[in-house]
Amino acid sequence: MRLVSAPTIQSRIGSLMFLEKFWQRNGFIQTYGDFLLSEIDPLLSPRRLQARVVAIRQETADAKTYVFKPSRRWKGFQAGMHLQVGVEAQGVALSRYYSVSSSVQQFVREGTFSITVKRIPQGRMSNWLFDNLQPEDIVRIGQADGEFTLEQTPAQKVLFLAAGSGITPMMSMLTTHLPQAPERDFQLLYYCCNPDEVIFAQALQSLADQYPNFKLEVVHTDTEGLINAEQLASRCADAAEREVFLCGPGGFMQVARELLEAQGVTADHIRQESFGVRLDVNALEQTGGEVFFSKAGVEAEADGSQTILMLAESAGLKPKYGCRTGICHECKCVKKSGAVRNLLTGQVSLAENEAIQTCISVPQGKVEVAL
Amino acid sequence: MTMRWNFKGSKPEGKPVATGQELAGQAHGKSRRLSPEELEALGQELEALRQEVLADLGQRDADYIRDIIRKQRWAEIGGRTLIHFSLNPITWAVGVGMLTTAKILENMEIGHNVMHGQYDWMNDPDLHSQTYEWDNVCDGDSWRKTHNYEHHTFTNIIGKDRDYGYAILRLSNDTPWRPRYLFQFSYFIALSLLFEWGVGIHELEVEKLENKEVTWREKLPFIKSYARKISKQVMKDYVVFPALAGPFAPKVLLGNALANVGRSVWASAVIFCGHFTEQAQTFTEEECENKTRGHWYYRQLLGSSNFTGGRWLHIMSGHLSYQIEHHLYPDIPSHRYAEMAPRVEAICKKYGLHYNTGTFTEQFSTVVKRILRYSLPPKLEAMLPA
Repeated sequence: MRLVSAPTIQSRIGSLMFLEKFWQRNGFIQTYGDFLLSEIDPLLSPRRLQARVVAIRQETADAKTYVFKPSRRWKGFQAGMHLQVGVEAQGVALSRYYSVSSSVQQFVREGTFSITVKRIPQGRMSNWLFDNLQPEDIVRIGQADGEFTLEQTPAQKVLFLAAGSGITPMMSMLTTHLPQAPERDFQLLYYCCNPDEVIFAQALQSLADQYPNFKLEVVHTDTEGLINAEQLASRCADAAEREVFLCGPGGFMQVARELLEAQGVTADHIRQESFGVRLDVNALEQTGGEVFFSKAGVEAEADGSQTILMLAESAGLKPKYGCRTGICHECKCVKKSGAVRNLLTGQVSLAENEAIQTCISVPQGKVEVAL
Repeated sequence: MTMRWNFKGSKPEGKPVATGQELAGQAHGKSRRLSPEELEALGQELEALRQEVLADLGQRDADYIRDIIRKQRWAEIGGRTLIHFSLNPITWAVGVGMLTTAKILENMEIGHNVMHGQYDWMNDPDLHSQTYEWDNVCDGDSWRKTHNYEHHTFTNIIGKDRDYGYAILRLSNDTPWRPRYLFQFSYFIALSLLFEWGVGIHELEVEKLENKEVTWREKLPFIKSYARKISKQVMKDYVVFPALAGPFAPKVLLGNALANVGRSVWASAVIFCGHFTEQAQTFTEEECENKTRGHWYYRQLLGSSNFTGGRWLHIMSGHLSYQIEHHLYPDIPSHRYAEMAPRVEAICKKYGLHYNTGTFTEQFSTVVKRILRYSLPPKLEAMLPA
């Protein structure tokens, strides 16, 4: 079964692809046409994909759900997908990727969807959203994308393994598929520090009460300990028979993966959604080096704790960037020579004249980039 | 890290002769000459002010430029609509005025400043210096090269700054006199009327083609991009919009032409007031060779001139009425110059440097005098009262 938000909308958009391309070109008609339509309603903009905040709900002390009404050009989503959300914070355009946390049915019915954001102590975007975003505000969005969906697998038995805000794509999948797939067997194993931190606690409980094919297990790590082999075996003995969807902090996913594989789940049955890297400077290998920005003719000293993007910025350059977590590729530039380590993959690349994402590349020794 | 200027191997033929004013150890006009230590200190003070403002950039600046863009777009839409549907000469003239205003705002307060990178920090692709394209026959990439790089780096260095007189006008005795300069006032009028075309063709470096420093073949990529940009602009203002008006095409064509010429005249007047006023100093390559950032700041200060006026005069000049501040801080959002100006002036005072300012009329009349004065051969010029 393929569940798409609204097949009619998609085919209509498909036939208008040439219009999409027309509006993305630079020209007088595009600039002023877009301006006039945006003056009437920002959601009418044919150049920028935007959404209006229609409601904000506090989920826990540090998690909020933002309900958006997207422009009609937004093509919808499959449960489990993510999208880019952009705002302007103190004049600076910021964007991050978030999973949709609402059901496809809600989008079809009301034309709205939501994301759920957990406040990260040093997170620029999440803090800005918490402190500033109000109903009626306009945010920029991207089309939904991703392969972390049930449409990607025929599996009848599914295990959702989530920690913290990793619950968001699971919530979208559960609320979308439970009413439509009584034959599928769902289990959610959700790790949170304590009961106060459980996002969607009530909604999850009522889903569990309503659907016999859904088994809910919440683990409070403050009292029950972090994820470990016995715990996993006791809570989900048949993990090896299930298709596993994994989402949470990087460390959690790494440990969970190892445990699952030890329990007999093969790698091709584990699907995971990661939202780039959280730059944990202390965890980086401290390798020094020098970066030469060839276009600017500037050199920067690297101590191994900063990415090439950060080094470029502290050297006074203003390179293009987007998500700053290795997803959007806006910051891509050519590395002419030298070795860089990719923080997302851990791989060291040595090739010459290779495109790198500066926001997740740490120099290893002498590096020259075309910035 | 100290950046030093180095012009090795780039000297043009027929090197200008240094006049008494430029000889080492003497003053630059009404300004003192500074010791290397003083230059360094001056550079540091001006840099500190720059860092202070950079750290303060935020929503206010983003809101400012978006508000100007919004006003410019409404003025453009309103102007073009009035020109199209005007019922009498008055409404048509109002339309032409609005379109001229929109074009001035787009080029001077938006385009020029965005292309300097004043809003790159916003990370907005529509306001990025390297991709912005303005409503002007001058191609954006060509402008970034001849203006942002050449003019702002080599400001008022005779032989290096091709904006000093645009290779057409003789504005100091540093340029050898030729009989053709006797008529330079008429060149000035022509340049003012067709300023955007002159700016557009600036990168061709006609004078270097003449004495074979560069070849036509080397200029081919530029000629192609210039031709592309010209055809775009001509199509818009002189073909498509007039054609849309059907039988009324002539009034649209005339209106658009007047708006473009009006903008050219205003832009050239503002820009001439920025560097060609009586007290704006020039420099030789020798005295700038191997100099530090402190000296660059010093040269920007002495080579530029401001004019005073109300808020909208500043906005309509793209804040080039604060030419001194613009040259010290080309990548700081222009509306900040008004706040920075008193502090720059105070720094000038402290170092005994002349802060060149006056009303628009005062400054512009010294420009006109300068153009007339240096059209004469040096012997005759020397007989004129200073």
